[in-house]
Amino acid sequence: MSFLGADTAQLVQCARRYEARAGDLASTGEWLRSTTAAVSWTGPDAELFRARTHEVCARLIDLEERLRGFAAELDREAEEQNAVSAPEGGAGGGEGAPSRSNTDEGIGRNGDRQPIDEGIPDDDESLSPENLAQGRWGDCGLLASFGALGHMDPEFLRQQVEEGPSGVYTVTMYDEHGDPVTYRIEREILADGATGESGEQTLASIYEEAWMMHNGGDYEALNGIFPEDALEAMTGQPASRYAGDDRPGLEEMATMLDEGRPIVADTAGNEMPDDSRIVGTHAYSVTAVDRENGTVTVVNPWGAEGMDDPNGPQETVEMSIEEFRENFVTTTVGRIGPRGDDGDSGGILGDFGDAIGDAVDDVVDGTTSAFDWMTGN
Amino acid sequence: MSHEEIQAFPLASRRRWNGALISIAGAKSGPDEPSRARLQISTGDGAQTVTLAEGESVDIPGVGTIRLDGVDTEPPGERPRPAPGAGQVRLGLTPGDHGTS
Repeated sequence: MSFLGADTAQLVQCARRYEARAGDLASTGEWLRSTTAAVSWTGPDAELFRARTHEVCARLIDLEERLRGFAAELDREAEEQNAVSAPEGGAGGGEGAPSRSNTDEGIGRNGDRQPIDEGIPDDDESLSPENLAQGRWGDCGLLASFGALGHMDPEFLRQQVEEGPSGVYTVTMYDEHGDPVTYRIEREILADGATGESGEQTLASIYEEAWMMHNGGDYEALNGIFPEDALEAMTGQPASRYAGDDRPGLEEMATMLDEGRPIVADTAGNEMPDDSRIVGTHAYSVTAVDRENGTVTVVNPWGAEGMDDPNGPQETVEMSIEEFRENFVTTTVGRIGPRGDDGDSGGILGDFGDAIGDAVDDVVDGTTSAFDWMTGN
Repeated sequence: MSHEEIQAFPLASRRRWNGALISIAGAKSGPDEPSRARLQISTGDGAQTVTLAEGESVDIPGVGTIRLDGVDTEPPGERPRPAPGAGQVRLGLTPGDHGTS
């Protein structure tokens, strides 16, 4: 049978399998890193071996990103095919994505609102995690992600929010396919949400409104947010969640920060942390890793107000990597940059001698059906 | 005479009440143990962190009485853990003589 086009359901199914296998590659890389790091072995041979292992890990990450890029491509193809096949050509995505306004019927009607300020600051300091002051909503997952992004790349956040005339803000977020969706925030925003340290409206306040719109138009969407969802919606890039033994160690986190990747750590699942400086069921921006002293610094999106009890929660906590792992259950790592931009990976695949590399090679080269590889047939 | 008002606080959230900033620093509920919540309460006189069992209360001078009415934690859904900030603590708030809620 010969026809043009595609079975879009199969494309989407294939995309999900690509994503699942990408996750497997990430897990393999993390396992390789942690296992190698745990071996007591010193000397030149050990250093060489570790360097070679590190190189393979880096290639696994590259491959993971390539597979996620393929998955995104498949999703886009499916969406375009559906649009073409729909009556009257359907509605497109991307630049043509619908722009919704927070003044639309049924949006954000279950929260108190206040007039929106003009000229909300967007300088680096205003976007830093230390300038966050969470409000009455359980949206630490969103705010800690915002803080992590503001810490790593404030320019990125500035690019996502455009201020128009008379206090109208347009926020670009991304749907589950990584396609941009824009939200017009005008006239009013949530009254008792996040602010800056002095109570002023910030871009975090704007993002809360956009998140509400992005998730059905109900402020209840601000209660209980997974950092991976927030990072992906804010960046359009896949975020990786690590728990248990898969969590990155000190060196891995340091490298990720060096690479400009936003990191969020959370205590969900640890309701009452032993360390009273840390809040349970909460999310924090990871802002620094000190290789020399073996410490990790986290910032609480609550802000500094009321943090003068030395036996209670603190805004900024520097702790040993051991304390970090005891208190924080999950580490989430995002990416900033154009989706699918994985750089020049030529030559990477040919260096793999193991089964994973060969299998991926075959799929990337087109010598094996993606479906066969995914299904193991 | 002041009356108690029950307010629901999302986990790990903060809210001003009667001149105090109340933060939910931790909360636990389970079938085998009474619910507990760790609260950070900040006023102009400074901050204190208290842990209350269900039914227990703390008096904050110049502010009022805060009683732990209950804890509703969120069970994991499709993912292996609850989301940060999911679940809530119910506090019974009775304003003190000098405050207004």
